[in-house]
Amino acid sequence: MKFFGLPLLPLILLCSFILFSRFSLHETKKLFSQTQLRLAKAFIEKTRYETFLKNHPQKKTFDLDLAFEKTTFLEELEKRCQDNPPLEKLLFQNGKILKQKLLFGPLKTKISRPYLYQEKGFTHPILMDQKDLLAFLKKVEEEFFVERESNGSGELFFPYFHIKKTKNPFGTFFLVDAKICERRGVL
Amino acid sequence: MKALGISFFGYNTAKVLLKKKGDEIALCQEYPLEAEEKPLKALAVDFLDTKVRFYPLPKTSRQNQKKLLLSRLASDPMIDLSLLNISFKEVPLGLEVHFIEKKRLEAFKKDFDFITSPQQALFRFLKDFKALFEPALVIVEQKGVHVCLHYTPTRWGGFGIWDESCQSLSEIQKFWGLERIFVLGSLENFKDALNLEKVESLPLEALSIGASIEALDPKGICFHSPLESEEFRQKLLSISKNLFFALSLAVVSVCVLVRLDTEQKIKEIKQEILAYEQTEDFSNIHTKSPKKVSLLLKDLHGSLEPFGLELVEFDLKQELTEKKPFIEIYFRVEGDSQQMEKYAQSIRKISGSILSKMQPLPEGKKGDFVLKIPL
Repeated sequence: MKFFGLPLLPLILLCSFILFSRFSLHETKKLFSQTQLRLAKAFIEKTRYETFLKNHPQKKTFDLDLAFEKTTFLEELEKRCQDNPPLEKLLFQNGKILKQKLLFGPLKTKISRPYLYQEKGFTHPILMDQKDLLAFLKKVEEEFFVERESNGSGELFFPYFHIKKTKNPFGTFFLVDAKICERRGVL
Repeated sequence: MKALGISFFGYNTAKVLLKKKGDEIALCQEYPLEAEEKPLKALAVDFLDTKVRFYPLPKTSRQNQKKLLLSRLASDPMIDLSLLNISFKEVPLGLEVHFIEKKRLEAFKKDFDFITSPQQALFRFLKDFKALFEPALVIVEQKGVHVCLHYTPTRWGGFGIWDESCQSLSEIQKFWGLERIFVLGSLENFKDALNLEKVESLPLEALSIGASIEALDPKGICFHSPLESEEFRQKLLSISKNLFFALSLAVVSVCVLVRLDTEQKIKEIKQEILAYEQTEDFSNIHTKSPKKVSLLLKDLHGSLEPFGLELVEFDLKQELTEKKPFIEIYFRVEGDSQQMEKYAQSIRKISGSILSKMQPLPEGKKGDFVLKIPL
């Protein structure tokens, strides 16, 4: 073994070294193909997005105050109280409950290319019943969204949304606090 | 490679030099050799020093053959393995075992690199040098004893001592059914016993030639291996070392070339990758869509209903402007504690919903669930 193994040793080392070199080259080539693929994907995405923005410009900020100006809450409760004198009396004592107005705080703007984020939060939590809550969500996430543009320019979403179940003499309600954000594409 | 075959026959010492080139073995004419040349010294010992026996054994590996043979020899009361040196070769249907006394062998070890039996040397001579492929009777006379050997092309078929008083050689010849007769050495002593016209004489160098052939192209019978010779070992080691250094040098050069080539290729590829990456800065493109609260709440109500649980609190935060956009959900449910436990186990099974990733809040109350995942 000593006589034949000794000369074989450099050959074994050479084979290992060549294998190692080939492997490292192969890995680099793989990295290259992955980079090409990744960049090609990003390029296609960007081109598609830029084309979309050119064809569907959305320059005006969505006016949340105006959109929710006429929105009223707890209409069901109001109707229920009108036909029920004891409840009407109770409602009179808790008068503020029906006079809720959805108001928004200052506009916060942030650019994270290729999007512009404009966000407004409730000035105070609003009391809603199940029906109000569903209607409110539908307005923000479906109706207003379709009114603007589909496919990413001018869509509305909730960066923050919080509901808590509360009980009062009229039943169980949800106390809702949220922030609504509009996302628009910028070139 | 060269081997100097030596044998002692009667009072004569026969020396021949054989050369091996590839598969061919040929006699050298240039003997004696130049002073610096050191061929392998191969010896065929005396006929009187060795014995040969045939042991029938099933075909198996060499190691198993050795084990079986040793166990047989150990049980033979006529054989003392502590005094004998054995060597064997595989022949049809068993093993041909050659014995020599250790004491006799020791005397030769110092002076020879390779030691074999005279029977094997004679066998190799007849088979490989004389190319004899038919059975024959071989007679060897040494110190007044006539040893008869039954040659077959595969092995020695039998051995006998010819005693002039009891039987004639022709009877032995008839008994073994052999036609050809060979005599090692001079035919002078066989004038009366044999019809000399039908007898062929083998040269005295036959054993030396056979020993050299066995040393250059071993077929298994060797009492003393050439690797045990210090001189031979040193020679091999020096060849091996030279080869090692030469190959190492070549390997280092090839390694450097391969490394340079690989590095160059890797560098080119990396430059191309860099060039690609510098073409556009796409790193800030976040095309992740935010989650819709209405759908999440619908899923949540749907999952709570079968357990009769009620949603008490729901909190959602989704951050899309961060480097790694994420969503964080927390909710609390109320109801029967057993149902809540069942719900906690079943929530992971809601397929296709983000809720399946919700985890009960470890330090929270029963019914608190939390989730924070990248968008």
